[in-house]
Amino acid sequence: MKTLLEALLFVAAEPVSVSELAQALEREEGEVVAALEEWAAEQASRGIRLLRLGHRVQLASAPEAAPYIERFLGLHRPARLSAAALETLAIIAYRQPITRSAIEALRGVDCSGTLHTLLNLGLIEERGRAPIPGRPILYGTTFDFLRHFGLQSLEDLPPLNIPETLPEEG
Amino acid sequence: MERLKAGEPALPTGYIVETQEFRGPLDLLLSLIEKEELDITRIALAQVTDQYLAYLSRMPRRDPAELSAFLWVAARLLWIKSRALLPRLPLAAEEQEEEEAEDLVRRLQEYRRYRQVAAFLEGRLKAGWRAFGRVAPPPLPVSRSVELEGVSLETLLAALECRLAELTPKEEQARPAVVHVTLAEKARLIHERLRLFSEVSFQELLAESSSREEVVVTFWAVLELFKRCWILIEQEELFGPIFIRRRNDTASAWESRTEWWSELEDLA
Repeated sequence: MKTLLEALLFVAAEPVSVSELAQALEREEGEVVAALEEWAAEQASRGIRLLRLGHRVQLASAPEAAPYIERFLGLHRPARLSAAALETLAIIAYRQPITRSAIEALRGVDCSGTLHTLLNLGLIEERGRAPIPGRPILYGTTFDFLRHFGLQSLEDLPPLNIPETLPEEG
Repeated sequence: MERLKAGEPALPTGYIVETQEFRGPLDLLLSLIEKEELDITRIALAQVTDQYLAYLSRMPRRDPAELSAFLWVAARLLWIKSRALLPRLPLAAEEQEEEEAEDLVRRLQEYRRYRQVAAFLEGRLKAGWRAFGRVAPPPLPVSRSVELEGVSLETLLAALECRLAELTPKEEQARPAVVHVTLAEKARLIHERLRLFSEVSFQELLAESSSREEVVVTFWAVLELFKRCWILIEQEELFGPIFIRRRNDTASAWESRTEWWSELEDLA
């Protein structure tokens, strides 16, 4: 099962969902998830890692190999992101899917320009619309975001210890 | 800066706000609190209010939307400070007003966490720890193309298709009664030619054919002869002329193996 999974992930050009893998292998999704986790744990010291975003997975190179890969493929280091862009990304990463106005409430400033930049860089994407008046666009992070920062999943981000439920409780 | 020299109100003593660009009012406020090494509380907000206002007064020009965001926080700060300075009055609305101050405190606390995460992300960027997906997707199954090396039956088939398209008359013309050509007849024709000439052009053979049926039979005959190792087929370059040559090693067997000829008769 793990061997087959590895083979499927190798030939997959795009991120694939767990259900697609389960279908191809004729197994239950739960089994696939368990096998994926087992496989990912075994890969921890290898050159290939498993990226996870929601129900989708994709193979990527180990982050520590980045300088060598850049030399090997003749790639440039990515451009620096502005402090505002990083801040906005951080908020989206933890609170996704999130609307622009919610981001602006957290940052206290207009974010339309920053969001545009992040969308163009492919670090965030639209994730449908919020079921509230005006049906504002919801934003979420992408696989490019994970790769850009060498993260395997959103769980690699530091924990956020905020008493964010306080207002609701009152 | 020019405006500043012209006569700005004196800055509060003891502390000069850096002239760095702040990402927003919360960023500025948080920076002030951290500079003073204070915890994020209402008291701390009241303490840095003057510094905040001082920065605001000499802030580089920004667009009105951004400025209004700074001003909104300034108004809140002033209110919080006034509450801290004045003796408490038992007003009914006080509790709700305190709630508002607490709201700003909470927002700052949350904002601080995101700013820390932003620093974490920046650290990853600086370390250059990127991950890469596959550069090239695996090849998709492509339709089988004409082989480039050697001559194969597929090449012949493709050439024949081209030829057939060229040979197909635009309009149906009056034709003599259909003459049926058999496989064996065509094979014998090729056989005869090869006894006289060292090679025969495949295109010529096709050109001699008067009908589509004859073209097909000619092609078939070539294939059959090739299959039986009686002839060689050569093509120097892709889409170049195709030549049929006799195989010297098997040529002598042609005549003697009469059963092969009858096989060909049977095929037709």
